[in-house]
Amino acid sequence: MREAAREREFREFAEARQRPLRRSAYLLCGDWHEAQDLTQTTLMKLYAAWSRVRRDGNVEAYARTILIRTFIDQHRRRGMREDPVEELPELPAARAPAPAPELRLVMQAALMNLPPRYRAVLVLRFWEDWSVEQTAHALHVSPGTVRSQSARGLSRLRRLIERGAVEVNRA
Amino acid sequence: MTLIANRPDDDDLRGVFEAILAGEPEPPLGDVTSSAIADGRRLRLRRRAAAAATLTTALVLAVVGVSTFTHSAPEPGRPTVPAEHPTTGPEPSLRPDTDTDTDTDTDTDDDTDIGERDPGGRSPADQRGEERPPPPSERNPPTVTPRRS
Repeated sequence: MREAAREREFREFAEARQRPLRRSAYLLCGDWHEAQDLTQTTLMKLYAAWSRVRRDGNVEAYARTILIRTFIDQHRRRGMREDPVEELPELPAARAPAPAPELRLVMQAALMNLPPRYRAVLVLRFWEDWSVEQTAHALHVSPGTVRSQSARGLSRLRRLIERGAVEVNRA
Repeated sequence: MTLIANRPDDDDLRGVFEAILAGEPEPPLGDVTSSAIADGRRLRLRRRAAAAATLTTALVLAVVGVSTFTHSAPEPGRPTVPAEHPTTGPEPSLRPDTDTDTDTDTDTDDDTDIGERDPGGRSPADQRGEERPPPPSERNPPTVTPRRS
């Protein structure tokens, strides 16, 4: 009985929120299939802790936090394929300007060129409209780190988009 | 797009995200919720089993620790007896085992005076613990008489 009520409550929440969750996941990983897996893992973890989360309140924020932490953990386990580098990597468009890339692809490539933590900070701060403190809590870092990573991430993204845009205009 | 013409600032970033999402049609969502519920139930059971195993291990360790401590503690009122020295080795003797016979006299009378020797080569006087008399050579040292010319 209790289990059935618990499942019904969770199902209502998941049906309503799984699409926005998957969109956020897509912004983080840049692939719809990976975004779907990320969303399912998030909902699985959320269901496992559903009673406690419901009792504490703010289920929405909890779900986003799980999503972001799962994304970062997965990247860490893969051996940090996207290490933060001092020098900005060249965009594919800059190397091979022959096929004129769409503007959207430039922006997406620029976003995917950022380190996962920077991406997470930018998505939480500017897509989810979270405060610096909320973002810091979700990522287990200090507010100062969030501020600095946010500024660096924006700066890098800006440069990458500009570089890609120049190639688009040339083509 | 103004994002490219002008530099994207904090507000424009949301536009970048929207453009990225709008560019590619979203594939249909599968039955994510049912799968999540089934997996979440399994995860919850696994966590409970792990917690129960940890608790059981902690209890067993605590019981073993308490019983070991109780058995190893000395009983009150029981005197402690010092350990005895092992008696397996030979007792130290005050005398050396073999006596070097310095008597060079070959007189048979003297031999009878000495008496029978024990297998260890000690005389009866030695066996009684008496002090032996010095050998004849020490008893009567040779006297040198000066030669008269």
